[in-house]
Formats: sequence, structure tokens, C-alpha cells
Amino acid sequence: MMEGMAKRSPTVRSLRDRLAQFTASPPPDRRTEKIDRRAALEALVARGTQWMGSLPEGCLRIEEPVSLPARAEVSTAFFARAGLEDPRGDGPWVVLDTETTGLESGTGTVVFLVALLRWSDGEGRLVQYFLPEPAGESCFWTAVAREVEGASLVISYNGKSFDLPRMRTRMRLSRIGAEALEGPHADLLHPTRRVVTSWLASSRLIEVERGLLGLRRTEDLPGSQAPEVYRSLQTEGRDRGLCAVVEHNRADVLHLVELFCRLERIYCGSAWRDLPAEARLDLARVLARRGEVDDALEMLTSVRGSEDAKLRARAHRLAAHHLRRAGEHARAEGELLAALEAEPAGLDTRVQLAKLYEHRLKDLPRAHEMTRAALSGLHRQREWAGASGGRVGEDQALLHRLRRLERRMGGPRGEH
Amino acid sequence: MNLQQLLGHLRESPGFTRNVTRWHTLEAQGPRCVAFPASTDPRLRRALEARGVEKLYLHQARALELASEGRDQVVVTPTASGKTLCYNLPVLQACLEDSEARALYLFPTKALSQDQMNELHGLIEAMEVDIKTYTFDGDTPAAARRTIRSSGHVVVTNPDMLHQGILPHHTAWVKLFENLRFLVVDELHHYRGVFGSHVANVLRRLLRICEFYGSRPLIIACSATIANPADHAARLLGRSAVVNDENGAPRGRKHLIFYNPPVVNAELGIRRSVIKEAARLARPFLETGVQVILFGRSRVRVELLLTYLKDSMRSLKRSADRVRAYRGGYLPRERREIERGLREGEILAVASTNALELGIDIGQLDVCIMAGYAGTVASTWQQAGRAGRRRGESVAILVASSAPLDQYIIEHPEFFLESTPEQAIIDPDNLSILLSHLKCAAFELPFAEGERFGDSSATSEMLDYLTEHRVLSRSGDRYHWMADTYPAEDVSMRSAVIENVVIVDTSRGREVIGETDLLSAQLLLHEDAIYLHQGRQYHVDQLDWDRKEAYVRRVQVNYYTDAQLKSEIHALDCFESQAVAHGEKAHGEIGLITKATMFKKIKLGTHENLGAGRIHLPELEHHTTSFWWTLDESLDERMRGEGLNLGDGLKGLAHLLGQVAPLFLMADPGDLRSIPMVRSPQTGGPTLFLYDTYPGGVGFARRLFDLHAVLQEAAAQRLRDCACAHGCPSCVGSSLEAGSLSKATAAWLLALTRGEVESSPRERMQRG
Ligand SMILES: [Zn+2]
Repeated sequence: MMEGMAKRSPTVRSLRDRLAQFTASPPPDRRTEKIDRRAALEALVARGTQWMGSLPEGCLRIEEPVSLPARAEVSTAFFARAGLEDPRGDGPWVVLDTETTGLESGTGTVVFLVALLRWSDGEGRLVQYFLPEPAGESCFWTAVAREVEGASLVISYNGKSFDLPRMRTRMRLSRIGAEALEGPHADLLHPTRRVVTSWLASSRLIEVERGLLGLRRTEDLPGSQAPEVYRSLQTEGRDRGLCAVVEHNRADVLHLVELFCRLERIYCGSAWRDLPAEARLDLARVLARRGEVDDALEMLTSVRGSEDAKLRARAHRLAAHHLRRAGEHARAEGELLAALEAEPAGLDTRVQLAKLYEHRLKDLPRAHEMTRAALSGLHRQREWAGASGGRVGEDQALLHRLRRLERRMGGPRGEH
Repeated sequence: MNLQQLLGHLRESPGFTRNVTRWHTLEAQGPRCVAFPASTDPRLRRALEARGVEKLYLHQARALELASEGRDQVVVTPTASGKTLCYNLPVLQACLEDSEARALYLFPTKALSQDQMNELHGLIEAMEVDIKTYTFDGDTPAAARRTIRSSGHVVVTNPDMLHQGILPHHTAWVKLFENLRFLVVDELHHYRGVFGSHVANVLRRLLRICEFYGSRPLIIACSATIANPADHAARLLGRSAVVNDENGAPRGRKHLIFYNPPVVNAELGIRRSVIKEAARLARPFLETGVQVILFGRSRVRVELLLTYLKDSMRSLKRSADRVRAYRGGYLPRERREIERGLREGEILAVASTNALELGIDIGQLDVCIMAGYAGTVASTWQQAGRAGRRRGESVAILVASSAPLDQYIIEHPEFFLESTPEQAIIDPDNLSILLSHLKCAAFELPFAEGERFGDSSATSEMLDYLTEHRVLSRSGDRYHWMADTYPAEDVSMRSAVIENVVIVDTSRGREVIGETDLLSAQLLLHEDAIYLHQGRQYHVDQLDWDRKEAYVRRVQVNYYTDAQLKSEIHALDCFESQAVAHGEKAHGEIGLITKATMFKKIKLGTHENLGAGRIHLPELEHHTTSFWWTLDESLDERMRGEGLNLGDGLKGLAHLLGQVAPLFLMADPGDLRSIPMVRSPQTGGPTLFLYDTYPGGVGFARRLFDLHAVLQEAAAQRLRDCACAHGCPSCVGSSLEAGSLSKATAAWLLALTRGEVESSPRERMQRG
């Protein structure tokens, strides 16, 4: 049964009070007046930037010359080897990076800073566009689009799924055509990931710079803070490190050029020799799949010096795989035997050898011997690991092979 | 024996007819058709003719006509009346005229959208034209999405996907939005209450985006019969739509049988189990080989039905595999297989939740048995419509449970048969819902100064509020999204934000037997409470408030527990009030704080007080809208003179009104809650609050205010019809809890306020 408690005087709550119950954050200072961002932009403007238009509809432009290697030094084979799109035409290459208000996809994420490094033959020009406030987007995107126009290649790091979709979205909202972004695009993320995945904690650009390029940033602001700095400018009119954000963005594209060049020397030159053995093995696998078997074998040969026996065995097996496909069965056998030497318990190696003896070298007794060895190896493994040792059905497959070999050789052989 | 003979047999059997409260026969009706309009594309016409459609039903022709005039419409026709052509025709016609034309179809569930695609595909295939239709939902593979975005002429989706997956990425859908000619919203009546209030806002966002791309789609909505289709469409769609309800489709003869299982315990008002009764009624049909569909209100009930049906089949020496269950949670492949089995006659009976109530194609069944009232008249008609299509005889049997709604319906079939009193109610301007979607809208497109979202006049104040909270920032004359979040992710459209306590029976292992909202949990599930569940007693061993779980154990004791709830209603903001006989009615906003403080153990039968205990639970606070009804204070004294207690009467009335109100609101019983207060500090008199459980309310309170007299009438009827002696859960609540005079007192109060009892002379003097 209900009973009333002490009476409180009835109050009519304002809309604001009612809204407050749905908002977690404490009520801020009232700030209904328009925010003047001019003062907060002073440091950035003093940095030698140039206004295009004026607040609120304008944007800022920062330009500097950069010295770059000649494009002719870049091997034309690089793009295909690294799985990248080829440049189309003679226009400049544009290295691109953006800063945004967040990582979310969708229309609400604002792109507020774009660095575009135009790389023509032997000379470079780095241009950055900064959006002082969203009202300037039309001016901002028109300028960015003009900068990319005529490019024969756009180079980015994860631009395919991050920068470009967000740029297209915001351009569409400003009703600016995004055709300039639709040309060839070399996204360095994947070729980079292939050479660092085995030995770097992640393939984030900052990690790659440190691990692969040996670069250290001397910035006073990590990139992850850029959105908050920009939000402060927009919602409070405060400068909490705009110059550092611009510097960060600038460093991104400059480092991207270095990454591009390093990848070129890894994929087409001899810089792969500086990679850890495991990375060389990964790279060899990629190149062999793309048909560059000789180079792949050379990389695999280099892995033989590794102290990691398992890794050596993998390199031998991979080499054997491609040699067998090239019809060089004797060399393949040598590689597999070497693999077995490196890793005497190697089940896969024995199975590979058995197949090679049976189908290619037509040496049934040795095929039989290998199969038996594999089978007893598997049984030993199971004793240790229980039913989980080996792949499902593997023992059945081996038994089947054994029977077939025995049939082909005319009756069972072995102990007796 | 065929169906007709079986029906004849049933009519003759007293064991059956004794429990039938009404046997209503709807006579067969012929089709009313008109020729295709001359403007119909010949390809479309040929494709339809090839499928046996030579002419159009009235409502189909009207749909085409309205579309050609550019008028939005809501088609209101029964199940199986060919309503899908009402939108497929104009859409296909437009696509044939202009290959760039696009249409967006919105269905409340995934299963349903797949089915609608079949019909559309069939027509397009027959026309041999290049019109592409795609379903875009959570199951759509990433690889297919790009194609759908750019080249789908007809995109079929659901509100959840539109909200999370399409609108926030509208720039990827330029082709669709620039050329959007039609927006089809099927099952409009489904979008009500909290869900409907969300969907209305999703549609506001959709139309706002269309405007950005320069399109203005024509809306074709379809609804089951409700009392307020035009009004509901206007609120939901934000535009006024013409009601197109002249149904020209034929229908076969149909028997509607209202069946009330016999009473087994008159004192407690308990009837024979609705599930067992429904399964028993299905048996003669199964025996004759007539296809039956049974509906149960929950998954558990459906599984029980299935068990009983399988038993029947075994005892009939038939394969138990020919009866199946169908409910949510089944894989699409299983569902398709069952649907096919039904169409092809392999499956004899199916027990289903309301998953099959919507227009999924299962062919023509002969008999539908509903184990319990579906909750709304509209749903009941849709379930009944699963039996019998356009010709031949069919039967629908509604088997009532002991629940108050069921008992009301079964005693008043006219409620069901005459023009429906059910209103679909939403409040798109519920502040928390509105705020969520305003954020989503701002994420999608910057707001211009002075722009209004929907018809909410509070838009600019809310935008300023969000700006102060750094969610938006103002630049030029616009508000831009400035947070690093994805606001659509934080909105849950289907479930209310209210948490529930799960009840776990630990008697044998760990079995979940039910759940209840926090407010009820305070009263019914505090530690040492005796919790009643389906007539069984459970002792509450532990209530884990943090994990929201109550652990109970089966017991047999000679007492029940009664918890005291201290409740405080504050910040009463009255929107509207009006004098009524012996009191006043009003609606407005309330802040509600409740706290369970202690409980008593009361002996069954003698009502002796056996002891008491303290309850240690936190206060609950709740802001929402409420309807309230205040009675004159002087009644207290007068009732004492008559030997009645005002408190008993209010408590009984609160229970009763809380039970009958959902009848008119298409609400679930959990959507409303009542509080009787013998003396409310706010109104100064004895007051009964009936409030919306969703924070902020979704429009029920206002409707209850309007419906006050109707509610009183329905409540009085329910009391008169109820077979119990002194009150039961189907009327004023169990007499054990409400007191033995509760029923009589509630009846007296209703009679008085409805003018059936003379006012005392003293009262007349006081009124002057
Ligand atoms: Zn009763």
C-alpha cells in the first residue's frame, strides 16, 4: 500500500533541467554567444601561413619546398611487386595525410587538416590546408581538390579505408566534386604490413617509423590528441597546440616519403637483407606468389643463417614448394632433407617428402619409409598432446597413403 | 470428415459450446474490381495478367491513383487483401518510366522483408526488365553493399538498419537519396509506443537527408486496422496521408469462435490452462488432417504447445514430425523449410509466436487457434487472418487465458468485432528519444540556424544545449557535430531503457522462471518475500540488486507477504486538468521516487499478522508522464459510513484500470503502471496515478486523460463479468492481497463516479 512522504513544492522544470537528466557530463558554463576563434589562430598564422578568404568561410594554407629523390630512381617494377596500383600519366605524385575529429566512419567526422606533398621530377612542394572552422569547408575542399587534380598517383598510409572515404564524405556534404580523388592510389599499409607483421607490435605508422625506418619523432603532441586540440578550438576558442598538430601532420607525409623509398629498396633492391629472418621469409612468400621465384629463393637462402631451426625448416620447405612447382624435383628434395635436418620431428616435411617421392621421383620405398616415419611421429605427438596432436583426419590420410603405397609395391613390407 | 462436418460436429457437442462465449460467422464476400488504368505500363500489366491478376481491387486502383496524384497515403486493409500491390504497382510503374527512380521499403522485421522480396522479384522477372531489388540488413555481406548502394532500384531494409547503417553514411548512398521517389512503410501499426517514437524520428532524419539531396519521396504506408490510422500516420511520418481503406478483396466464409476455458478454482478465479486447452482443441483437426496454426504469446508457451501437439500426434498414430514450432531465434534456413512445409502440406500443424503473424508466405491454412489474446485487436486479426485466404471456409478460435485482457475480450467479443477502439500511440517528442535522434541528425548533416527537427519547436534550444556541452559547435550559421562518437550506436530503439530483474529458481539447479521490472521487484522480490508464480509459492532467498537477479526456491507456506512502498511524487507539472464527477482528472509530468521499506507476513485465510521484516533496497527515481484521477476528499467519510474503506477501493481500482487501459492503447501491460494514494500531497486528495513506465513517456498519459470515461466503462464491465467472489488477478487483484472488500468497494466507486449511485445530500450541499 502506498503512502505519501513529505511534500515538496511542485516546480515546473525548464527544458534545460529536463535535458540535464539525459546528459552525463556536469553542466558547463553557459556559452551561447558565438565563439571568436581569431585569437586562438594567431600562433598558427604567425607560422607563415596564408589566409585563403577570411573567417568564418576561409581556410589556411601553409607551403614549403621539400627536396626529394628523383622519381626516376623508383623502379617501375616496384608497384606490381608491392601489390600497388601503377601511376597513370606524368602528373605529380601526391603524398597525402589527414587529421580528423575522430576515428568514426560516417558523415559527422570532420577532416580539418590535409597535408599534400606534391612530388614531381626531383622536386617537391609540401602544402597543408587547415580548416579554421567548419563554415570554411567549401573553400578548404575546393583548394584540396585543386591540389590533387592532375596527380598521376596518390600515396597514403591506410588512405583507402580511412583518409579518402572521410574526404569524399565531407566533400560531398560541401557539394564539392571528389573526382580528383578517384585516380590511382598507392596505399602503403599492406606492403608495409607484409614486411613488419612478424616483428613489430603493430603496423601503425608511428611504430613503423621507429622500427623500420629508425626515425624518432620529437613532437610535443601525440597524434591521438589532435582531435581534442581541434575540438577545443571549435567549442572554446582556445589554442591547445594547433602548431603541434600541424607539425605532426607535416611529419606524417615526410615520413611517408621515406617509407615509400624504403619499401622500394626492400621490394626491388637489397634492403630486404636488413630485415629480420622471419620478415624475409614472409616477403619471399609474397614475391614467389607474384612469380618472382628467383628473388624469393635468394631471400630464403639468406634465412639459412638464422639460429632459429624452425624458421630454417620453414624456409627450406617454402623453397622446396616453389622448386617443385618449377619442376626442379632434385633441388626440392635437397631442400626438404635440409628442412628435416633442421627440424627432425617435422611432420609436414615428412609428408612433403613422401609426396615428392611417390609422385615426382617415383621412389616408392622411400615414399613408404617417409610415410611410416610421419605416422609414427604423429602417434608420438598424440601421446603427448592427446587427440589434439596433428590435424583432424591426418592419421587417416597417412594410413590411406601407406596402404596405397603398399598396394603399389605389391604387398605389405616392413618389419619382417 | 472434412472441415465443414467437423464444425457441424463441434456445434453439436455441449462440452465445446458450453465454453464458447460467441460463435461469429463472417459471410463470404465477392471481389470488387476495376480495370487497370490506361496509364499502366503494358509490361507490368502483362506480367500481372500472367499471374492471374486481370483487374485491380478497389484499394489497389486507388493506391495507383493517389500515387499518380502525388499524394501520400496509408492503406488500411486486412491480411491477405493484396495490399503489397498497393505499393509494388506504383513503384514498378515509376521504375519502368524512369530507370533512375529509386524506392526504399521499410519493414519492421528481417523475415518479413525477405518475403516481400519474393513477390517483387516474381513480377520483375516476368517483365524481363532490369529493375534491381536488394535487401540491406545486418546479414548483407560487405562485398554486396557497394552494389546495393549504387545500383539498387528498390532497397528493402528495417528501421534499425536505416538508423545505424544507412543514414549516418548517407554520402555513400547518393544515388538512392538523389532519386528517391517512394518511401514504403509497411506494418505501420507495428511502430507504436517506444519503438514507434524512435522510428518517427528515424523518418524525420531520412526526410531531412532527402531534402539535402533534393528529393521528396512519396510515402505509401500500410497498416492493419486501428482506430487512428490517419492520426498515427501523421505523427509517425510527419506528413498527413490520405487513408485508403476501401477493401475490394474477396474473402471466404470465416468462423470466429471465442472460447473461455472452464473455471477450476472460483475463489482465485483460475481457469484451465490456456495452452492445454488450445492443444486439446487442435486435436480433432489434426485427426481429420486439416492444417492448423497455433499462436502462443511467448517462446516458452510455443514450446509447450509443441510438446502437447506432438503427444496428440503420437496418440493418433501419426508422425510427430508433422508438427513444428516457429519462432524468433531459428535460423533463416529452418524458417524457410517450415514455411515451405506448410505451403506444401507436409507440415500439419505449426505452433508459432507472433513471428508468423506478419505477412510471411505460408499459403492457406484452414484453422487458426490462438492460445491467449495477442495483446491487440490488430495482432489478433492478423493471426486469425493466417487461416483462410480468399475462398473456402476457415476457422479462428481465440482461447482466453486468465489474464484480465483475455477475460475482457472473451466476455466482450463486440470489442473485437465492431470498429476497433485501439489507437496506436507514439510521442516522437519524448525528450530523451528526441535528443538522441537530434544528435544523430546533427551527425548526419549540420543544422542550420532556425531549422526545425520534425515539428519540435524546442529544436534551437536543444541545439544550443548540445553546443554548450561541446557535442556541437557553431560556425557561420550552422551547428556542426564536434564529438568523436557515433551517436546512432548509443540509441536502442527496440528495448526500453528500463532494467529488469531476472527471477532464478534454485530448487532444481538454476532455472530462469521470469523477469520483472525494478519497480515491481522492490515489492515482490525483496529478500524473504513469498513470490507467487503461476499459482506456486516461492521464497526469495536473495535479491542481488547489482546483478539484477533474484534467487527463489519452491516452498509451501501458509502465509503471503505484503511489502510497504513509500512513494513520493514530486515536481508535478500539470499539462491539463478537468473536473469530472466527484473529482478531477489530469495529466502531466511527474517525478517519482519509490522505496520499499518493510513487509508483513500475513496468514492465508485468517489474514492474521504473523510478523514483519525490513527491506534494504535503494530508492528508485523516475521521471515520466502520468494520468491521474483525484477523488473528492469527502468520499472517505461517506464510505466509512457505508462500511467501506477508500484505500481498498483505490487499490482495487488502480489494479483494474492498469489492466484494462492497454486495451485501448495497443500497449503491453508492462508499459503502464498504477499507484493509488489515499492522500496525495500534490493534489491534496485521494488520487490514482496511471503512468507511463518509459522515462519521459510516449503519449499514453494524454490518451488516458481523453479516454477516462471509456476506461471507467470498461473497468465496470470487467468487474461485472468477473466470475470471482471477492476479487482476483483478472479484476481488482487477488482478494488475498487487496482485501476481501476490494471488489465491492471498487464497484461502488465506479458506480458513484459514473453517476449510477446517488450523491448523498451532504455532498450536494458542499458542492453548493
Ligand atoms: Zn475477479
